[in-house]
Amino acid sequence: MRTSVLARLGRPGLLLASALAVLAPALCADHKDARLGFSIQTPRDWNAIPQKADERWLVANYQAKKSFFYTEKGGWTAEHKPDMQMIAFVAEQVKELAKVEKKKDKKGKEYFLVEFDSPYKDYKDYMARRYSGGGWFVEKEEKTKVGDVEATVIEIRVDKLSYDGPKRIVTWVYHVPDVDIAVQFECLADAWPKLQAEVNRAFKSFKLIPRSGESLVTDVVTGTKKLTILEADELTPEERKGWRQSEEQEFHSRAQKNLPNGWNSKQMGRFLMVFSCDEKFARKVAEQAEAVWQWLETSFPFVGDKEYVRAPVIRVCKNEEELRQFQKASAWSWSNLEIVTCQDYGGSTSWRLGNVNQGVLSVWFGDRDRELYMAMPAWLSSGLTEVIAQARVDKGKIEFKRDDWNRDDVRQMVREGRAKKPRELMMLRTSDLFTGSAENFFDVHFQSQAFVTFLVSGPAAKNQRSKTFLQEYVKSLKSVQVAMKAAEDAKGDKKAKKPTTEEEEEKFFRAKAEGYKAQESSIMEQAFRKAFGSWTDKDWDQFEDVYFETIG
Amino acid sequence: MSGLCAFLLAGLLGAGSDSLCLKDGRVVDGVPMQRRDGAVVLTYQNGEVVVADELIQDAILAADSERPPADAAEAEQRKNGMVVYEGRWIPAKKRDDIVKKRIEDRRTAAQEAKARVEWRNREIVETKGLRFEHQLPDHLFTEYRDALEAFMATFSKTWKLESPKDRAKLPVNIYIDRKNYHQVAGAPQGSLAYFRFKIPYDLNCYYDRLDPDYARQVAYHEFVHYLEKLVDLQFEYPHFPNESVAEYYGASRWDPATRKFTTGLLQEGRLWEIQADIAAGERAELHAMIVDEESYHHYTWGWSLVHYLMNNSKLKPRFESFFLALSKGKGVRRDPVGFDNLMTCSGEEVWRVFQSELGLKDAESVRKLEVEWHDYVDDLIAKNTSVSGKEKAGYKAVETNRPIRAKRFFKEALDAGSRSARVVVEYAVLLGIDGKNKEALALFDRAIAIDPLNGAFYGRKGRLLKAMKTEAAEGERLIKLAKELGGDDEWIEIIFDEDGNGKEDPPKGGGGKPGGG
Repeated sequence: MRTSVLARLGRPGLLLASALAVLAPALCADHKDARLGFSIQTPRDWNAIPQKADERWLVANYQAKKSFFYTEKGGWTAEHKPDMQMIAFVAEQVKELAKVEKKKDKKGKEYFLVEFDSPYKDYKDYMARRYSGGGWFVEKEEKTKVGDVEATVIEIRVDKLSYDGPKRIVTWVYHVPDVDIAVQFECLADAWPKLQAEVNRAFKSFKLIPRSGESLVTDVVTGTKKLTILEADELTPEERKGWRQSEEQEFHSRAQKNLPNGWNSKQMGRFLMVFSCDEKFARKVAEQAEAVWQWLETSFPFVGDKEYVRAPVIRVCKNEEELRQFQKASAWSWSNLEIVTCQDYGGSTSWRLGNVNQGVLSVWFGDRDRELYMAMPAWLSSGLTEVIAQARVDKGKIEFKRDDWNRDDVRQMVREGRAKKPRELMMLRTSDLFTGSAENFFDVHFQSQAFVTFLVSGPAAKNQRSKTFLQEYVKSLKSVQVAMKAAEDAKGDKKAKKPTTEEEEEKFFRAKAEGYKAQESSIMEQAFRKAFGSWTDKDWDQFEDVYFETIG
Repeated sequence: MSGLCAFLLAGLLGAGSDSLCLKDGRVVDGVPMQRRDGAVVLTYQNGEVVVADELIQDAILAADSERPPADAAEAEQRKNGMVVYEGRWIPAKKRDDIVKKRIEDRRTAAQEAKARVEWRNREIVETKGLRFEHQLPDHLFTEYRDALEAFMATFSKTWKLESPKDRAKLPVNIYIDRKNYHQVAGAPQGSLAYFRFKIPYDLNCYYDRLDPDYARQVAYHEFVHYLEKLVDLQFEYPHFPNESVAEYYGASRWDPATRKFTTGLLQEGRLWEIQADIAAGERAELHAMIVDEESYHHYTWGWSLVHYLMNNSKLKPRFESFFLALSKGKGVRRDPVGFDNLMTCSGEEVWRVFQSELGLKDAESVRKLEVEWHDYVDDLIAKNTSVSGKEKAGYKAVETNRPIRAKRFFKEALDAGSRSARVVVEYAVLLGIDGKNKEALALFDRAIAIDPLNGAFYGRKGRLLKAMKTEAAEGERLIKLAKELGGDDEWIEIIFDEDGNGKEDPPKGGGGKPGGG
């Protein structure tokens, strides 16, 4: 029997092929950035994660699919997925400094605006101000070259207070014309030996490519004119609408740019949905956000009724891990226009969906009447935030789900005699929440949720007399706020005389310290009286009896 | 020959290799230096900086080797190859060998101190009970080391603790500054130090060159949390008395000369916080404070309560008994903390044990103790007339927006001999607000004399000069010098763009900055 040469070579050939497969670099994808003019290989099958719409520094973010684990002696086991981030330090941007600008308010009075969001000087400064994964230090730093490109290798150890275990960060900072590009890999310290070869191959694959000609600086200045929130307050509602629309447009446009593979963006109703989850889920999120929006419009139509509310971007990651990686790489931002969540299959109990509702509440109330939103007393602010999180859409209609955990907690408080009557709860000042134990704080928080639940979806919502309880209170609160502002304006610049002696100063100090609390109490008392002045003690007793009955 | 000698020494030192080690731990190099009138003068691009000898731990200057002969006799001796060295005439070569060795040793020490600014180059030192990892220059570290060892011995004796024979030594990490502390220890902003009370224990604190006494007190405070562990490893002391006792022992002092460790001194900063509470119409109530499980009052009023009880011969043994009863007493209800099998007591239980051990049988006895404690506090405030007490009273007054009071205390502190640059600057700022620019400028100069390498002070003076318009150019120069020096003031980095001027270059990094930038 004859066998061909090929056939005879077949088996060793296969062996050779498989040996080569082991030895050859893992098939990597190229990350290309035409704006900054570079490409680099990313490890095989790592997921690309987008950046926040107002991100200025991070230019790429990847996460491994495989998890590694760390178990603290006698403690918890933490899961960690290695990641790769690229951060660009454009020379022009690095030169910017935090600044102080002299401005004038509408009365012509001068004030200073201090911009503390100063840019990062370099990679280590970025790490110092932005890294939150534990205490870290540079273990090794040396120069190297990749082709003609000078680079600095920085090896970092993350040890103290690292909640998911000791980690290693290895970064190569490539010094290319006008830009330093830091490519950073982070993994658990124990995982490093397994990843080292692949990571080093990625570092050495860095190449310069022709630049597209776009501006190297990614400015987040939005709208036709950059304004601070305080400056926007000085505009008329119509002018403010123009500014907000322009900002909204710019923000939406940025959110859609450079989306990695696996990510989509679609306008769904008023919301721009940016998602890597399945589209059906994204639609469900949009539908629910819209229902919350409509509920707010219907429930509080009188709040800032001339104001334009910007539509947020809702970003839906495909799972919790992707969401965590997105958040980990994102800087804190002043903007609340981007609501981020993930598909968690929690159905009606999903607390991730609850977060979306809370995001909508914040944008809607913030744009309609920020002053009123910030002036809400503790019971209303906590209660509304928690109750809105329980809202779900069922057959196109909003429903406030009962939170059984909350009911059990409050029931326990009632049994232990810690529960407050709604009348007492409504008079608690913010400072009352923070004096006493943490238990006191959570007691108030949980009872506020229970009380607002009672108002929006409990028996109070069905009773002729109490069904507008919340609306009446919010209206009264606003009218008190308006009256106080008018009184303040009437005083003009003839405010309290400045103390000239130490004795006067001490008196002034004491009056002021007591005044804050007194003023808060006064606002609550006035709002309460305005809303429920006609209620007798008997009315209140009946109302509160029903409330405690619902708790059981 | 003398020329050769000078050349040789200059060679040893190397051009541009001047190096200055300050007593507060900073190391400066890369700037030309020369001695002048009891000081070392550093020449930066934007002006000279004069550092008085009293601030200097060590100075290694190339210019030292080029000193001209003091008189004709010395010039004659130099011709014969002889030089005066430490009061004796010796051959120049011998002098050069001695100097070379000393310079090398000093330079090594200076380089080590500077290198420690990177945590990877930290020094690791083990003592009898502790393992130190630190970034301090040796002369500063020695005091920490000796103080903490002495503290451990003192506390163990007071509370009759057994010495931890088979226990791992407590790691004590001391960072050179707040920035390193936050970065390496992973501590959140606002934290001044922390003790990790979960195994493995770990203590982290930082040195503050602008307020070294306070930095030590914070370290002592956290160290007490470790020492309290040694009372009973399975017990986590509740917030009261835990934080109040830590504050009590935080106010301690180590005297390197007498090698004595004194505990239970006045927490002057806390005392003035209490005074501000009283001025605002608030006095802590005994029961409310003790049952509260997280109150900030435990650091202030709680400290004063412990101070009162520990200084009352009748009540001291009762308080000590209360403290030990929480962890070891029979019939005390302890609840699990939730990890490491630790137990603790609720606020209500702490109050019950407190009443029982202090002999507070009824509301009247509670009220009586409360009144005595409040009277004691009033007395402490009235009698607190030390310099540091006045400094802290001034700081608190600034913080609580009582500028008239602050100015009085700052003035009194300075009149009484305060050497705190912070006091001088805060006082100057207040005077500047009042439009007393001349006095403010004089105070900035005083601050610069106390801490001449702190760019912040030049920056503040420069900004005031610019605002006055009359000396805008000098103001501009000082701001540039401030940026060159760096400092402990983030405002240095901020452009005041009120005139619509273009942006300035960012401050250059480099060797000229104290502590290596």
